[in-house]
Amino acid sequence: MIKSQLACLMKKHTLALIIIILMIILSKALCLYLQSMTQYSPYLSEGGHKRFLQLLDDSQGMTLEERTEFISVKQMTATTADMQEAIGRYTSLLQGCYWVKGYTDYSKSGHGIIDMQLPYDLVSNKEFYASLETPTVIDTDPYYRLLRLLTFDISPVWVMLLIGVFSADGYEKRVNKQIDISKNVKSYYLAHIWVCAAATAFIFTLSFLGDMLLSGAFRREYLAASFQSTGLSGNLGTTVFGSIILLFFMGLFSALLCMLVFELTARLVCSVKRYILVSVSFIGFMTALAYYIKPLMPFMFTALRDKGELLNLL
Amino acid sequence: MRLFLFTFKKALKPALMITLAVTLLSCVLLGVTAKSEYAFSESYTEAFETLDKKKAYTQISEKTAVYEKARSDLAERVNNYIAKKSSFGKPPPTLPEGLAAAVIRNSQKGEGFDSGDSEMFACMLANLKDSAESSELINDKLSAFSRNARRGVTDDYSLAFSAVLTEDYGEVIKMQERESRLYDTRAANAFTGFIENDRLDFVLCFLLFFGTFSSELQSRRLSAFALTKAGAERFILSKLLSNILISLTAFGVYYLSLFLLMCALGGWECLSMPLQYLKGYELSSFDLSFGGFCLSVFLLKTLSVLLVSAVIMLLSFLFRRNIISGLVCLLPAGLIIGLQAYDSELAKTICCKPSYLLGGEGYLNIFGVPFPVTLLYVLVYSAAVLMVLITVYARSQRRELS
Repeated sequence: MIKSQLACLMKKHTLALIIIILMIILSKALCLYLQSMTQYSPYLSEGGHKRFLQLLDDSQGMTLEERTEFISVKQMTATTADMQEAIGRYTSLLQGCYWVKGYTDYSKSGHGIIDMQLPYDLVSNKEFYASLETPTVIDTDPYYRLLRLLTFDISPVWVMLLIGVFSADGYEKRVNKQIDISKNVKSYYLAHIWVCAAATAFIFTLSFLGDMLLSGAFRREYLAASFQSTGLSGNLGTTVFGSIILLFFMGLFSALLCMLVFELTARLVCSVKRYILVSVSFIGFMTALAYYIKPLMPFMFTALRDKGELLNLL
Repeated sequence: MRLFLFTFKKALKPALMITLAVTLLSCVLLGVTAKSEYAFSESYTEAFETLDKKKAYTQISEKTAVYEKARSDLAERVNNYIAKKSSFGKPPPTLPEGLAAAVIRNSQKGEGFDSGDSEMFACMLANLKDSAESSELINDKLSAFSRNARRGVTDDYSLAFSAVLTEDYGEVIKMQERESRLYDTRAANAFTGFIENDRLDFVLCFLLFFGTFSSELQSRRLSAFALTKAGAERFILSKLLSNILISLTAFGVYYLSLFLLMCALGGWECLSMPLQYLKGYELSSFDLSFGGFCLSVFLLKTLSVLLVSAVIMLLSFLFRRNIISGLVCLLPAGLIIGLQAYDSELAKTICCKPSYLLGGEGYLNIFGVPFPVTLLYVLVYSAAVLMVLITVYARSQRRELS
């Protein structure tokens, strides 16, 4: 049964699959175009970025104190504008690391604060802050680029189209009535759901891997650094790689939940017009709720969400 | 007429259901937006009522200055300590115990920490700032015009522009001088902020109209109507007119509900407040009260909703299947929602941003003449709505339908 369903999806609905892939590519292309309109990197010029990567290579494996000494020596010998720009970025990231180290030290031992700005729940959430690892200086650009690409993740829209073409259209033509009088009711629906879930998971994974490749998140050895090294204010006690995995699984589960809800909707309403009405309402309502009531954002699985904000809320 | 009533009655019930659902969500979201402003409800109202109209801004500035001074003193102590102890090439110094305790007290939220009143007065100051500074900003602008005249600016457009604007601002200043009350602008600001970035009205247009004609084509009802005495052409015309009426009714219900919620939160008296007291409208050249502003925004937004509805109806006519029509009709609604994030003048005009149409100087240079932006918007949008509707009707003349 699964084989026949899969063949039906691949052969009969090839056009829909191509449209979905084109939609995803178009959204990523739009994202890249908008990024190129602003700047190569959120903080550095192209030359400055190269110098910055060189500085990171030279200071690999150093502690924060050793990095401070290293960058102060470089600062004294810097001559070109690119180098000064790179040193400026390195110093500000290093300052951020000391800031995080300051309040984690305070949570552990009661002293160590270096700045007036502190998380507003430092005292009430002391144990969590004490468990955080000391961050280190990393190239944050690929991470920000990945978050921007993921902001253009339109998975609820393409899941809606996929289920619309694969299920809702058939239910409108009363395929379900034919199935109900046959002997294969259970195996048909099970196979149907499995194929839908596999297609959703495959397309989502493909799109996420594409985002990773485009952002350059595979390139540098920054994955093992603690999440606080990215400069985001989220309370995540994990590594950068851990946060990427978290984003992937959250996206995947959202897409699968979305698929199940839309499939159920298609089965209940048995009309493409009503299916679109309900599914777009779902997407619109959840997006509006996620946008205006921030604490609800992680639970709004059919919403088009900003992933940077999502990480800050976790 | 019978056909029109038939199509209207048939479409009204589901349309009202959808409208009510979207309206309910919008009202909840407006309530949530306004909630942050109403966090200090009772103490805020008590403190607000004791203020004198003319000196209110100064009184609150003095109160917030006390909190600000305590904060800046602490910042100075911290900075002095860091400047004294830090050395080049060494890690930043850690704060001593007493200073660190003061920093913790200042930065944490909750019981036992310095917060509450300072936030409330800061919020009040931000609300009073607009009404206190409006006339000052307008006078600055007018004095800049007279300075230009003294410098000998002879450009025709500049002279005409300053003459028109001086006249408009004169009316605004007269209106502000007549005012003797102090207005609580929290609800009005929440309402204007919400309407400024409202995207749900366009989602409503999509939900109401994406399948208008595609479902008729898919179910072959149009072909069936073509065989009747009335013909497909009259059926399409009556459906078009009834949908326009439904679009007006739906947006009316939507906007009126938000407006009534705002009135329930802020009271009816705020409707007589000058428009310039609102956040982002300090330099508006329109001598409108807030009630007049709400009505103008309703009329302007109605035009944009009509255009989006008409475009969606046109697109739904181009496809014979609901699923494709639904996907394609998402584009205009998605485009206009996406454009709201952009800061260009064209994007603001297309999305009907009230702060651009009614909150600024309000004139554009068209062939050397200062032309009102709002009038231009109304003319262009009315023409566009008519053109799209005529195009939809023209499609009903096609041979395969009749």
